[in-house]
Amino acid sequence: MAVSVAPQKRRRMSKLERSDFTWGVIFASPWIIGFLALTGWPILSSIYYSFTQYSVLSASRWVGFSNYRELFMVDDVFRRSLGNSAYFAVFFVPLAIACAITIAILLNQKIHGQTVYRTIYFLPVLVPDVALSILWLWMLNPQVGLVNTIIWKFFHVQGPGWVADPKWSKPAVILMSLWTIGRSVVIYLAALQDVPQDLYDAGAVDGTNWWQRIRHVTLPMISSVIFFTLITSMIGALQMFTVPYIMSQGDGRPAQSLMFYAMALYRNAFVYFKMGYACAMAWVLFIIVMFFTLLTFRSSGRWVYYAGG
Amino acid sequence: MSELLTRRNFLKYSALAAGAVLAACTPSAPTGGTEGGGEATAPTAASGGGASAPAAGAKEKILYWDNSSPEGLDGQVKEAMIQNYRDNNPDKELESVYKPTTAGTQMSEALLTSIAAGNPPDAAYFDRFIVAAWAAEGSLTDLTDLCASNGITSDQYFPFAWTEVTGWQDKVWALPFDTDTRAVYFDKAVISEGGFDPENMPTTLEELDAMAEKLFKTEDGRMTRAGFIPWYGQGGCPYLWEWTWGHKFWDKSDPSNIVVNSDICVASMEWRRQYAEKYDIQAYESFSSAFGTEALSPFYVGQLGMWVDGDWRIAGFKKYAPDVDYGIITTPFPAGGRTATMAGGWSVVVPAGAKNVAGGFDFISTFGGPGEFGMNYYCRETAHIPTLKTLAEDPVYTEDPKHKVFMDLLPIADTRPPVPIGQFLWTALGEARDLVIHGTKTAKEALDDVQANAAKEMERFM
Repeated sequence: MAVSVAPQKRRRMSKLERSDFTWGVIFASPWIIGFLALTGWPILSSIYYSFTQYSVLSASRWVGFSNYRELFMVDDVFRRSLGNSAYFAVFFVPLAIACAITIAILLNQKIHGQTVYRTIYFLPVLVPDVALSILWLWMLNPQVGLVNTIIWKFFHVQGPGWVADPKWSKPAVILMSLWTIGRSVVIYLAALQDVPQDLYDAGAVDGTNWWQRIRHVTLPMISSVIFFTLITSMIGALQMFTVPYIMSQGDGRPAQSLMFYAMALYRNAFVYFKMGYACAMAWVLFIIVMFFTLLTFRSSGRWVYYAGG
Repeated sequence: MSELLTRRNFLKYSALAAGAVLAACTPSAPTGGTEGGGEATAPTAASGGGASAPAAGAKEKILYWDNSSPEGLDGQVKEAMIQNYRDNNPDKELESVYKPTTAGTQMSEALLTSIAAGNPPDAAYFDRFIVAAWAAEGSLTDLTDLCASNGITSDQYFPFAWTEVTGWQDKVWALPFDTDTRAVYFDKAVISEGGFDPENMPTTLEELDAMAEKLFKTEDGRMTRAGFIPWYGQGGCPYLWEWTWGHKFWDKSDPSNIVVNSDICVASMEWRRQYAEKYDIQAYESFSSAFGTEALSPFYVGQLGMWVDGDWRIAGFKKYAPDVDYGIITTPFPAGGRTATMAGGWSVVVPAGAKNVAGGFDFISTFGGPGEFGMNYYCRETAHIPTLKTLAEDPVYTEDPKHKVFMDLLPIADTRPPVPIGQFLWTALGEARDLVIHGTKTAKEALDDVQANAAKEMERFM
């Protein structure tokens, strides 16, 4: 509150304000202490540990940049896992946004049973990741799975090997991840309700077709929401863990095609006891995520429209 | 607004509440106090040190962590053993806690963090093959002296089991518990259908390959039956096939020298790659990746001619496919090699930093000992194999001629090399095979890479 009152220059706080401030800090202290001890401290110490050899079980030993050097110069699992996560993010994020917007626009039509359809599209979000992965493993089983059986029935061709084939395993994971975009569908739906009807009306008067209305009215008006989902789903995609972990039973099979970055990190930390090395991986990921987030922010001036200001 | 709760009063009460919470959080002093200084009770008094001091009413506490679900058979059998220990030791208070291990690994983050934090249990159930790794990190209590003073010696156990718990610096880091071995199962009907005599199974790898070739079947473009998949099921254990080639990964006399890329290692990997090339790798992988309940396994429904599996599958057949007529042979081997099997299994340990080392050891030496409610009870009830030689003589294990195949393998069984980088090697070799059969790397490249990385991993333990 006090911030918006600004104009006066560095006026000393009155007694009442000072007391309010003190009480404010005291009341916020559980969170402040919790944040510093449980989030701030671990973050800072992980920077330190990333420069050490640390097995958790025995004391850490300072090794300078050697963890980082090993990551970039030697470790081909690191390279492969980074490639896999990037592949997933590059294909999944745009696909997810396109599908979610399409579904949201369809669900926004005034039709019978609108709420039923909305519920149906949101339902998969409620399925736990582990159950989801196992379910899809069954459906995608190349020999007896539902998907390939259908492909055989209708087209009489042998479907792909899906998670048994290094070339198809990532597309399979992308496909099944698209099943759970209900959350962003809901967000887009809310954004669509906010698009002013008069803009559509004006467009109709000018003789636009549906595609032009979507392209020049809907998309610009919901661009701030697209921006939000772009950033969150990009971060989520780069941190992908549960689904590939369960589907490949932890080891990224076949041929390391499902070894995602977070899995490689987890394995170094908790299977190989290389906690320092894993911390270095975490920081590399952080910098990558940071870089792309900043890049997106930078570009947002050109394509994101905020109706408020 | 009513003055029911003024700010001053609110603050007063919150402060009181906060104080109460803080008080509840502080470690309660009496835990060690009753025993008169926790760690001070040194583990000198051998077993059953119950008489040594505790005042009337104060029981000696032992905390034990186990990874078997209390709902499963293993967990229930163990609970009976634990209860028996309690009954026989009224002066001790044994608490058993279920701490599951992480899927995909054999270890428990809970145990890892508790040891790191200096507050581990006094005893824990522990996968034998990571004993050396944890010992090298200083996470396990050295039991050498306690074993000596309690008459526990190497010759009581099968050599592989003892080697596995003493691989690091020649000290005893765990007491071996159960074990299992592996051999080649075959479906007699499939073998006969292929024109072979199931009573006359191959002993050499060449014969096996030739037989397998006749057993493959495809329909509608998909493989409906596989003759043999070298890496299917337990055949996927790294080390196994290299052993049949006669390779030795490791020698106790020079424990830091691990070789994974010798010529015969490469040859054995090549042999597996040839299977992937000759038959459709994709169809293979579908078999291997078929995920689901055991009941749906291809070998219960005649889709697999031969495969490597553990002794526990006998119980599986009784339960899921009692009508399938199958047989078991020891692994065929190439010229110049030998038949081989891998013995796995668990052990019991006292984590480093345990408060009650003597109590923890007393419990694990009973739990894993030769007594009535010890190792044999568990193995009989859950169809595992004991690592104590005298217990393995129990006729119950050899009654079934099929199970006898596995028992006869015990004296020649090998274990995964008991080296600090055991977990790394296991994962890396499995991954190397996966890369080779998918053609991502050649056998030589993949194994050279593992060798180089293994040397690097080993550095920090030297």
